[in-house]
Amino acid sequence: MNELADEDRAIYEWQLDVPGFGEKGQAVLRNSTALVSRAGGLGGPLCFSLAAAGIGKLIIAHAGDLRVDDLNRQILMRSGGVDRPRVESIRKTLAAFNPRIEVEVVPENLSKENVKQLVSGADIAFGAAPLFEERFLLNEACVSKGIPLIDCAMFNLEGHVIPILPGTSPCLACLYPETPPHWKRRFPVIGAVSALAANIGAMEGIKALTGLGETQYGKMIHFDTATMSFQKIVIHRNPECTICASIP
Amino acid sequence: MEVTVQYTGQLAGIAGISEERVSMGGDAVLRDLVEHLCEKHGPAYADLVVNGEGRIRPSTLVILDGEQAIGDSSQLPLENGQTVLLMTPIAGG
Repeated sequence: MNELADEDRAIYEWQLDVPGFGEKGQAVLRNSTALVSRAGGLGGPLCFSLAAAGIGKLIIAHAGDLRVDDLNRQILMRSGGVDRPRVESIRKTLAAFNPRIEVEVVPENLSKENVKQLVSGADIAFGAAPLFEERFLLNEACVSKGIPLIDCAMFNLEGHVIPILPGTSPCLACLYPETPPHWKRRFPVIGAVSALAANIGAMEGIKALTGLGETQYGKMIHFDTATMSFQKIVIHRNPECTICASIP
Repeated sequence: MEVTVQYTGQLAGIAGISEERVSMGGDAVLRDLVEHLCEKHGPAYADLVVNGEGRIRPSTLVILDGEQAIGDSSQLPLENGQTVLLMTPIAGG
């Protein structure tokens, strides 16, 4: 494991003071790689927070060119990048923000063709895609590799985060045995709601990697910003799950 | 008896509310409640919650007093004062 440099200690000084985190937690983060599936309204702030915390490497998969109507929520993007590949804005913004972390951008969304390879290089993955098909692919690959997956989602004024540890807590396919037939690609969104879900997810990921606090495996953390209500819902593995039931 | 029914996601939008109180007979089971709600809120609501056979969709999460009901929950007896949360899946990013 690479030790912390003096510059690391200077940058992360205030979080090194967090009880239970310290230099040991910082070193674990520095030596960790996170895969983020899409860096839009949710994945963007998630990447920002992981970069701020000093994750060693981010692998970010996101296809397509930046549209002007992405800018209400996709905070890694910059208005000058409209009609240019999103990964250009992602790379530039993160490099300017924290040049000490490694960022690998992949100008593709997760697919059957690339998911196994992308997950192979990660210690943890974050699901932030707007389509269940991509989320299920990531879930299956994470279960297969046995790495934690932090699934983050939002809709309208609400959101939730589901930390998944294969073999220990329910996977995404345990919860949703079928592709939800009514989910639509377009959804109502205010960026602050996405960012809230993202930062809960980032914190769950940091805890999962470093052992800080209690990662909420087996729970869905749900919030509704309309009423500012938060709850933790107990969720269960599905003994008939086609993805993870075979894991004891 | 009376139960509190809560909604999230698309279901909350279609129901037009996030919470309601419902009176049911003393021996009511979850299926009775769902049938009542589908009739009350109409076909768009029903389409989100149940499939063509009238069974609760596998992707609709039923949460009873903060804990997911697993398997076929349709015959689970309701309890006075219980909170039933119906969650439709979300994947917004």
